Order: sequence, then structure tokens, then C-alpha cells
Amino acid sequence: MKDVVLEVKDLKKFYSMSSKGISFKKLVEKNFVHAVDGISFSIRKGEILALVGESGSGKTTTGMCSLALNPPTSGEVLLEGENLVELFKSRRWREMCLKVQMIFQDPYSSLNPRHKVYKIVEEPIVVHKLAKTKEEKYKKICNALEDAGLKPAEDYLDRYPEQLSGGQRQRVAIACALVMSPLYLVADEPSSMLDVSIRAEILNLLLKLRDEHNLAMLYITHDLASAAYLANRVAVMYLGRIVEEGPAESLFANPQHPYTKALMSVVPTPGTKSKRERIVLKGETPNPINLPKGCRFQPRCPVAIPQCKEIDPELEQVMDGHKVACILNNM
Amino acid sequence: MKANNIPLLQVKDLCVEYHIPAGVFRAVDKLSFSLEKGKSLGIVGESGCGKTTAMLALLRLLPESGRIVEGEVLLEVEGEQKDILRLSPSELQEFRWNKIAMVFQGAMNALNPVRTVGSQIREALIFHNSVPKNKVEEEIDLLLDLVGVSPAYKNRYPHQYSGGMRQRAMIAMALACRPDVLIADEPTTALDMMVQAQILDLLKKLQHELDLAVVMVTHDLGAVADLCDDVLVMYAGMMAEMAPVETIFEKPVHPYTRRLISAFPDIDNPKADLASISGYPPALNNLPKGCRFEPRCELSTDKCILEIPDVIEVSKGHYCRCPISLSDYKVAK
Amino acid sequence: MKQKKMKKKKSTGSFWFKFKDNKYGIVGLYIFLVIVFVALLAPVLAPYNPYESITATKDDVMASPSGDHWLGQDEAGRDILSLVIYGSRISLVVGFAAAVITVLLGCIVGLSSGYAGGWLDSLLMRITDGFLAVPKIPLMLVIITVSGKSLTNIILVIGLLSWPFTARIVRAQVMSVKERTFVLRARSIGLSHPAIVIKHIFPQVLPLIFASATLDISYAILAEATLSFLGLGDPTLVSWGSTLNNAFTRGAVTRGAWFYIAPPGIALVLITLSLALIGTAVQEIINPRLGSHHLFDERKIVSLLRHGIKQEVIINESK
Repeated sequence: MKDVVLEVKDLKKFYSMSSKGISFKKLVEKNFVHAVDGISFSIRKGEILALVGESGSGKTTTGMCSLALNPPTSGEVLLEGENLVELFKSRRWREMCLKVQMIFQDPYSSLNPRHKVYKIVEEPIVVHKLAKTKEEKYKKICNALEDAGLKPAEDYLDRYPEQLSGGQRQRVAIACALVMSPLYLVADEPSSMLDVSIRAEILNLLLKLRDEHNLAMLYITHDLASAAYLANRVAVMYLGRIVEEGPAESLFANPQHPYTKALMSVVPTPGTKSKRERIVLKGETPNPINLPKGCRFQPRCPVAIPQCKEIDPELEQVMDGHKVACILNNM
Repeated sequence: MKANNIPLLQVKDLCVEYHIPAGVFRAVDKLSFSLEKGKSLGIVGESGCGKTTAMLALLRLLPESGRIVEGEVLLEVEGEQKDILRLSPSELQEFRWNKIAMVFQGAMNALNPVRTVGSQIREALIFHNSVPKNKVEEEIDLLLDLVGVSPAYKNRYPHQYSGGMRQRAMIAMALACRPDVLIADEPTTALDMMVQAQILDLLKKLQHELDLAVVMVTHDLGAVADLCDDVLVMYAGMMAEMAPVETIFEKPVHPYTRRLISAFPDIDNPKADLASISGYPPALNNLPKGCRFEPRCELSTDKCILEIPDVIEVSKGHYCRCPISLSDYKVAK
Repeated sequence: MKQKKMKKKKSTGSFWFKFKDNKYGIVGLYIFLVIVFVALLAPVLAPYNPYESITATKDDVMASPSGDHWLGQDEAGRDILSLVIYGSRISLVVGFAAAVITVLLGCIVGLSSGYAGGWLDSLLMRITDGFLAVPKIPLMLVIITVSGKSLTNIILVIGLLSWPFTARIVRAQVMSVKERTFVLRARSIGLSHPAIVIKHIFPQVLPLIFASATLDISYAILAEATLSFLGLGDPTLVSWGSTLNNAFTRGAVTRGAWFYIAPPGIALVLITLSLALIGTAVQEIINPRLGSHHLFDERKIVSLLRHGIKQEVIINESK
């Protein structure tokens, strides 16, 4: 497929848990937390894929694995066709850092509090020798800051992170990533810790970057509404698996999976006109250890049938580009 | 029951300051609202707007550096209004938790980690003598059941509870003495979407079953739309606008309210433009002379810079601290 | 749409700026600087040179303070004031030198152990625990007795036995800094591990090392004084410990020669106190300040509600 920047195939990430108790059986078999249990997706140039899920869904882990920041337990991560995990282990690992970058959730701890903005944005330039002269370096830094919306850049160069607001800090982090001209950007809940009135700034910035730089982006969030605003395609995760995936319009207009439908029905809407019937699920997302046989969502599913306990559904296409993992759709 | 028009809770011109070495911070300025029995009010604002401070002031729980410098908090008790702020400490004890209780933000911080949840509820019940000694255990079970936690969990510790369950446990503790007013400070923040919906449903249920008046403090306009009858929007310590919930969303008048509402992505209209407000709120120890939103307001005039606007009654129950009217918006466009 | 120029938030200022405001720190610093001054200018300030041989008469033995000898004379007739002034040199030299070794070793071990984790961490920590479990002064006694009483040996012994404490503190801090997002971000940018340790982790650890160093210097000074007091110091050098040793072994107590015993003791107290004050000030500064969102402690409030502790009426009508 042309234009595919990132491809993830059957990604799995397990964490082993230390077993409690001293029985021989427990010593022998380790308990594994199946944080990510077989995820596949691909992202094209100039496309934003939103990975949506609640806590325990494995979305952040998936994001980190897709960058090889956290090596996956199994599965492939291909960047422009090359195996990213292998490349990160090879001598070309530094080169790879230039191509894949991440924006983290917490703007208050993602910048070194002792470095001025100039030094922060300069770091990647120095590490990768992206500029030959001081003037060139200065120019690159200013360009990146202005690209990230901090105008005029000169005003910000001399400041420490504590002199910046949350939104401005996030922009500095984005400028840092931009300076490297990456192909693939992972944004992990970039605005969830910001005040509501400035969240849109960061979201709009991401849109602008996608359009101007043709970036392939993975937007990780628990907020369906912002995913709807931002994404070209959406994948909904539950307990380490993708349960539904498809183009944003299609998915939000026509959700197929019971989990997606439930989530959409409870999204807080700033208005009273929406008279959606709310499907409030009982209980909370269980721990991804000792998963039940059959469908993972079955214990909480409002429309489960007896076969759901036996069959673990695969993602299957129901409409153009729109896939669901639910046996009810494939009957 | 005497028929009267006295509201259950009435706050008049509340002003709260923090006196710390760095200076005097006026966190709440002339806040006023009233609440009827069985109704709910949502107080909406962003970080630093003073909403949590105002609630703590209502219960007189400010830290040492906090000072209530002006105002009245009138609670209706047997047909009369009593000013909580002017009660003596021993009188206050009768009111706190018995008549007005609070659920704090971040339940994990508010629950004692080394004691079981049941024992903490028991302590509240015994201290306030709300039920006879032999009924205490029954009451604990009842309270937990009321909030949707299985009574079997009463002997577990807070860290053994999930996030949503802790929030419920906090609500159970707050309801121990069957108060008339429940204040919930960001009850749904940091919870998953589904759990948020569960908690909001729980609050709605309690509001109806117990005829509870609820004040919900939050930054989440969506939660407010779900639960509340009236909405009060705060900015930099002052009320910007207050109105019934439909009015706030359909006919907002204050520029801040309008921008805030359009900053929320709407899943029913996902590609609509999202607004943002550039800049940030004023420092509370260096407040501007005039309207506090003026530096970020695109419709400000010279008058706005000079003096703080008075509260205008736009229509019945709809108040706005801005001289602008809806027709001005059409002209501005 | 008007673009309003938002004011820049003020920076909180440098470390020294904050230190200046701390009463404890400033008092401690002054005392310490006075002692350093005295040590540096000892030949100028001391009325006599205790290293010069002098002829003493019977009257000079443990003579009380007089016009010529403000703090009196010791059993060999030497001026005690000069002894104390010169003694400061040894204490400070040992204090600093041993502390340098301690901090250096402690940092190396703490940084590698904390950052690398895994088997290296386990190994280094087992070694550290071993050192910590051994009582230091007795071990120092044994080593000095075996290797000989020289200044170098004392410095080495104190330095080499004190690093584990610093290593533990450094390791703990490194482990917490390592988890912070900006370190993860540095890794994702492509910095090598040594670069991350130097540029990002070490600066965060530095204030803690500074606080710990004041304790290390203090400890080293007292350790040297102890060793000298026990007779294991370099016999050719004048130190407060050795002066005290002489005082006790030559019977200053029975003679009531308070002027012989008190001054070196007071000097030790002063230097330790000054270092403790500086250390306290540094620790107060490096403790994270509470942000404005946490102006109250929720648990305290809930317990207030449950126990109904009497709160004063807090309305003040403002002017």
C-alpha cells in the first residue's frame, strides 16, 4: 500500500506479574498482564488515527510500542516498510528517533524545569547535528516555535518552563518534536491536563501540523468527542484489543459494537438538546489478567448472548473500511 | 410543613481571601446564589476561578491562610434562616455534615488509607449521633447499598476499591447524616467516561430519592448539562453568568460563557469549529480594576477596563455580569 | 480579534536568592565562613605558632588565661588560643577532603545504581548495605592502627567508609527523577544514556548532594576529632581532637583547666552547628513547594468534619 507510514501487525505486550503465595504451582506459572493483546492497524501520510479507550484498554501502551519506546512482546511495527523494533536495536537507532516522535500527556513534567526554552528545543538539533552554524540552529529553533504557535519566538527563548502556561509548555514539546521533522507522531492525551478553554488550541495545532507537514499521527485519548473532531479514522480499544475500527464519520454515525454504542451514549455534551438514550454499563473495566474465555466484553455487554462466552470474535469488515469484533454483527 | 419562600441555601456576596507571604489573593468576590430543596446547581469554571474555595468557605473549612472577609451563607432550618458564617464553633458542629456535607475531589486523598471504609463511615455516624448505637451497622450497609457498593466491601481498605467505588464511598460518608445539601467538588474528574456516567446517574438518583439539594462544582460543562437544574459560571473569583441549564446552553450572554461552551467538542456535531480563549486568567493578587475577563474579551470597551460591571437580570432567573446583550452579538457579527 | 500581550510570569529566582532569605542558612553560613577565614589566616591571626618548639617553665604548665595567653597554656606551655586556631585547619582539610571522596564515590555508585537498575543495582546495593551495617568508628580504629597514623590515611578511611549513605540518597533521587516524563522524552529524542544522566538527571540530584555534602563534611570533621581524641590522629599535627586528647590524658580535668578543654570542644560544636544550619536551609529550599491547587489537605478536612474540632470564627470585616 502506498503512503502507509506506520503499520502495526498483531502487536502484543505482556507484563509479567510477580506471583503471590508460595505454592509450587504459582512459582511455575507466571501471571501475565495482557496489556495489549493482538492489535493491528496502519496509518497513512497526512492521516490521524484516534485510539480511543478507557483506563485499562492498553491504548497508551500501544502508543509507546508503536514507537518502540517500549519494546513489544511480540508482533511487528513497520515504519515505511522497515522493522522499527529491529532498527532501534541496531546502529541506526538514532536515525529512527528523527522519524518517530511522541507528545506526552503531562505538560508539567515533560519539560526539564532547569532548562530554558532555547535549550530545550536546541537539544534535538545538537544530538542529531541538524544545524551546522549557530545562526542556522537559532533559525531552526525559532521556526519550530512559531510553527507550534509561539509567536514571536524570541519572546519565549529565554523563559523557564515554570514561566509558561500548560498550553505553552505543550507547544514547546511539540516544537521539539517538529524540529526533527518526523514522519510519525504519537500524541498521548495532549490536552487532557489543560484547561478546557485552551484544549482546542492544541487540537487545532495538531490539525494544522497534519495538513502542513503531512504527518501520520496516532491520537490517543479517552475523550470520544475530541477524537471525533480530530481524527480521520478511529479505533476503539477494550482490554487490549480493538473492538471497532473505521473512518470517523462512519464510526460515529453508525457505531456497531455494543461498547462503542455505550461510550457514545454517555459522552458529555455541552447542551441539552441531545436526547440520546444512555447506555450506562455496570461495573468498571476489569484487570487484564486471567481474561475470560470468549469475548472480553461479554461480562458487561448489555446485549450478550450465550455464544459470546464461547467465541472470541475477530475484527471483520461490516461496511467500507469499517470493522467490528462482535459476533452479533456477523450473523 | 409551612409554606414559605425561603430558599434552602442562600449565599450572599461571599468574599474570600488568602493571606500568604506572597501577598493577598482574592479568590472569591461577591458570589451570590440560592438553592431550593431537591434542586441542583452546577458551578462551572476553570482552574483557579475560585469555585473550590467558595465551597470550602461554605463549610468553613478554609486553611489557615484563608479568610472570609464578607458575606452571608444562610441555611434554612425549621423555617428560619441561619447564617453559617456567624455560628459559634459548637453550633457549627450541628450543621456540618448534618445539614450540609461535601464530597471532595480526588477521593483517594480524602479517605484514610489505613482504616477500612466501613470504619470511617461508622466513625461519622457515631460522632454525629445520627442513629442509635444498635442500628449503626445496619445503617452502614444501607448507605453503601444506596450508593451502589456491595455492603460486603465495608471491611476493605480504600486502596482495594476502584476509582469509581471510592467516589461512591465518599458519597456514602457524606450522606451518613442525611444532609439537606450535598456539595460535590469535581466528582467526575479523573474517572473513566463510563464511571463518570455512573456517578452522575447516582447523584441524580440521590437527588430524587432523598430530596437532596446538590451543588456540583466542575469544569465539565457536559456533566452539568446532564445533572443540573441551574448553572453558575465563575471566572477569576466572580460570577460571570447564572441561568437555568437550558438557557445557559441555548442563550448564553456573557462572552466567557459563550466561548467556553464553544470550546467543548460536541459529538453530535464533531467537525464544528472549536473555540479557544487565548491568554490566561488574571493573577489573583493583581486583579484588574475593571472586568476581569476584559483582557481576553474581543468585545471589550473602555468602560469594561474602568469598572467591574454590575449584575444584570437578563430574564427571570438569568443573571449576567456583562452589559452586553444578545442583540449585540448579532451586530458584532 | 485583538491580540493582547500577556505579561510574562515572574521566575522564582535562583537558589542563592532563596538561600539569602533563610535565617538559619545565613547564620550558619556566617559562622562557617568565619571559621574558614580563621583557618586560612591562622599564621596571621594566631599569636604564637604551636609548631615551633618553645622552652617552658614550670609556671607555664597548664597556666590559666593571662594577658599573653588569652586562653591559657597547655602542659607544654603552648598557647591554647593558637592551638585552637591552627586546629581549625586540620578539621577543615579533613572535612572537605573526606567529603569530596564521599560525595564522588556516593554519586558514582548512586547514579549508576539508580539509573541502570537490574543486576548492577542489586550488586551495588548489597555492597552498600554491607558497608552500612558495619559500625564505622571501630572499623576506622582498626584500619588506622594497622595502616599507620597519618593525615592521608585518616582522610581516606573516613571518605571510604562514608560514601554508602550518600549513595543511597542519590540512588533514591535518581530513581524518582528517572521516571519523570522529561527523561523519557530525552530518550525518545535520541540522547544516549550517559548524556541523559549528565544533562537531565544529575542537575536534579545536585541540590540533594549539596545538602548531603554538608552533613558529610560535618561527619568527617567529627570523625577526625574522634580518631584524634582516641590517639589515632597524626601526632605531628595540631587538631581539635588531638588537643582534647592531650587535655584529658595530661589531667586537665583534675587540674580544673577548663580553658584547655572547653575551647576545642566549643569550636567543634560551632562548626558542626553551622554546617547543620546550612544543611537545613538547603533542604528547606529544595523541598517542593505546594502548588495553589493544594492549599488544603483533604484528609485533614474530612477528619475535622468527623471529629468536629473546634474552628475559630473566621470572619474578619476587611477595611
